[in-house]
Amino acid sequence: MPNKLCQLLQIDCLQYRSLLQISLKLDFRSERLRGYRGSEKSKKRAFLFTIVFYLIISLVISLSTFQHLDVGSYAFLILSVSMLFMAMAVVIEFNDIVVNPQDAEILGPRPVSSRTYFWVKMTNLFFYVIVMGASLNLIPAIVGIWTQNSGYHFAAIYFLVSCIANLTTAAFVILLYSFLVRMMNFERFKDILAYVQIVFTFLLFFGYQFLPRVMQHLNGSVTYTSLQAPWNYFVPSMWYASIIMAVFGNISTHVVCLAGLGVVFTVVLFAHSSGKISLEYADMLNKLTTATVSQVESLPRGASLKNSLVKRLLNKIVPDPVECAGYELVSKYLHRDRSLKMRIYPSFAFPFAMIALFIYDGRFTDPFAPGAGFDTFFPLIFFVYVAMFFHFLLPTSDDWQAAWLYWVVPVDSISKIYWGAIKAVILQYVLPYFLAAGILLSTQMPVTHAAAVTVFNFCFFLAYYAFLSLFSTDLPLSKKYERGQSNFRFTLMVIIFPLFVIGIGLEYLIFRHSSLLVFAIGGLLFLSIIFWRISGVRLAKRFSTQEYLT
Amino acid sequence: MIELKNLTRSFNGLVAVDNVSLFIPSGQICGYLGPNGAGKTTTVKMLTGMLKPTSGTALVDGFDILQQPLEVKKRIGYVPESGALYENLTPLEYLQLVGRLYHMDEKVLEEKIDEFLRLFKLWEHKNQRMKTFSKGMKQKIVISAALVHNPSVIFLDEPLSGLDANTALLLKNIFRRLAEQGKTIFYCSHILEVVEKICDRIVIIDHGKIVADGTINQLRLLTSQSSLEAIFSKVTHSEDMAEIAEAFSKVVGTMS
Repeated sequence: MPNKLCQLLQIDCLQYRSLLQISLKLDFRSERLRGYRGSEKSKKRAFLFTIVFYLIISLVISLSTFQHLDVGSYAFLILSVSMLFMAMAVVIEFNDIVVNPQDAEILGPRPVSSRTYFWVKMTNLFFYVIVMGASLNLIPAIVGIWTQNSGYHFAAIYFLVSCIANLTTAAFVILLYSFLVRMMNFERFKDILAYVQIVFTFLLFFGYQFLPRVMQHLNGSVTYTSLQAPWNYFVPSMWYASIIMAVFGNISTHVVCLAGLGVVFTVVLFAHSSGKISLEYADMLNKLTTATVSQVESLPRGASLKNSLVKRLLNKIVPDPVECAGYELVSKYLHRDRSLKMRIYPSFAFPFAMIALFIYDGRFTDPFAPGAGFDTFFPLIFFVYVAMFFHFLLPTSDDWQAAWLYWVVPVDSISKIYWGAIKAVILQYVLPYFLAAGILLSTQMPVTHAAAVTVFNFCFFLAYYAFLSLFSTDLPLSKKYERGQSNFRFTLMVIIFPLFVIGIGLEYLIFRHSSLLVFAIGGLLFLSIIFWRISGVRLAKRFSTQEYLT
Repeated sequence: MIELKNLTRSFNGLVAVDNVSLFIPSGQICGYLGPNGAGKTTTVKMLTGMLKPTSGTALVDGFDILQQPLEVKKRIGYVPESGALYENLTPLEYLQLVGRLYHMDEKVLEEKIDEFLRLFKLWEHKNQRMKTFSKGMKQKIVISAALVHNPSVIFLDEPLSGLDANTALLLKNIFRRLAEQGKTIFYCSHILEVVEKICDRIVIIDHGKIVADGTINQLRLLTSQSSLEAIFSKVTHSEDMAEIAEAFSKVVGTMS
């Protein structure tokens, strides 16, 4: 940042440069429990995957819409997607840049003014926003040249406006952060973040299903003018799309008002950020390190009876005490660990969204009926996507350093902890989902047919979950979560999509020849056992040959 | 010097530091003791500008913590109990960052870092990321970062945590020398033997209030107890530790 700008923003230039340099350096330096097969490049790789994912998304959206839309509606659509993704990225992946209690602990007693510190954090965040924004908007900016009523200058204008829109989105999220931190303690704040992330992901998946339906209904007749309505004033992406339209020469009162709203909102937001928020930023962070007094929660009535029943049932399912320890550890963390919930629970949005929309569309049909299609299998088989989340994320935790315990406990086979964890996932998350899906299916087809579909897909899930363990077997909660892993998973999902299609095709063939069904279910169960046996042996071998922290 | 004037801090109605007034002149090492949760760290966080008092104020080296927090921060060094530092940096990078935040001359900073790392026998690790360091090595860096800018008031919160006996002895001598140079040292610790040895004055707080204040000899006279451990136990109304230890060891011996 040039010295004159530093003076204008009342920040200490030397401190700003030093802190920014360190912030970026820290972002790209990896932390991993040594002894695990993780590389120092994992953070860079995760960030690269984010960029690739955004490029793919923007390519797909822009190529599938540019022929159906005019320049204004196209800009509105792409800006909406871009701003939503940016808000998601700031909330999910980059919130620790803005709100990090460790910074307060280390830098709190140093003579760094609140403004300087605020702008270091903002620049750090804006670096990611600009890089991610560019990957989301570069392709649409070029493709947009060929939309109706567009021209070559669209690329430059759109790209500039998208940068401003994305920066404003990030600044708005920070404004919300500062408001929330002022209103509540850090623990509550993190709860809110978790809920927001889950809601965002559900929105994304429902939007993913909903958007093609909207496009189908519109049937290529969408123009900026046809979208004009009072709701435009409440949608920020429409404000910025209107700025583009105004530059393109559309200066009707409606467009000018919307564009003006966008300009005023941006200016006021940044003025407020550089003024009040930057002054209170250090106090906000210091508040995070303040001890909070928590209320002691008492057990609800009947809890002891319920607990004793659950305990007896648990003793039957996981009789081995070591396996039971793994089961309990994972159960407790999946219920209590906010970060883990934030990372895993959103994965349920995808199959849930599919079930809801398939019921809405009336696409569940009896797969045994003559001429039945593939549709019934989709929502159930896609639950394997949740398996990926559990597989990749259950080994991660903010308390990963406590994993030393695995190396010191005198158990005959460390893989028992792993079995306990798998049983916890299956019994508490997978089984209830398939039971609910089975009940829903039974309203659409005979009960026995619904049961057959459910059982087959449940076994398919088990086989897939076991198959994943062949690639990496890590004990639960033993690795540090790296920024960007969420987007890595999304990218992976896109890449392995053809596998799902093959799976659905196979399932269709099996249900066409119902005599094969029992053998298929047996085969899937057999494969699950074999895969998990192999991974169990590999895990035990790894622990017997590898020393902790060497 | 440090002067606390009716300093109070409460959290959701719970008073952590209750109307504390205290004057510590330059050149004095003041031991600040108290049971867990007594309000020691809260006091230090207020004096270092990390936490705003609910009421009252304090002067650090003549500057008001509420009115001139940046001036206060320029003059203090702080060793936090958590020992927090950016572990993905090397000691060299971390100390350079800290020095630059105080606008230290680059040449002086390089020389000082060089000396500190040599004296603490960390020179060969200067380009190694600190996440691979032992707790003692990290603590040496935290202490170096607190002293690199030559502060006139030093806040130490369990500074000897994780250090081996030789380094602990070295640091105790360093603290003594720094006090002789006229620096004020505010020393929070649970290790009573160390406090007894190096502090000129001992302040004990309990439930946010000062319950004892004086030299070790004054406290001995006041409480009719010979050791600081006994004095501490008496003024903080501790339970019978021998009885608890007996009960605990019995539980340890139970297998099923």
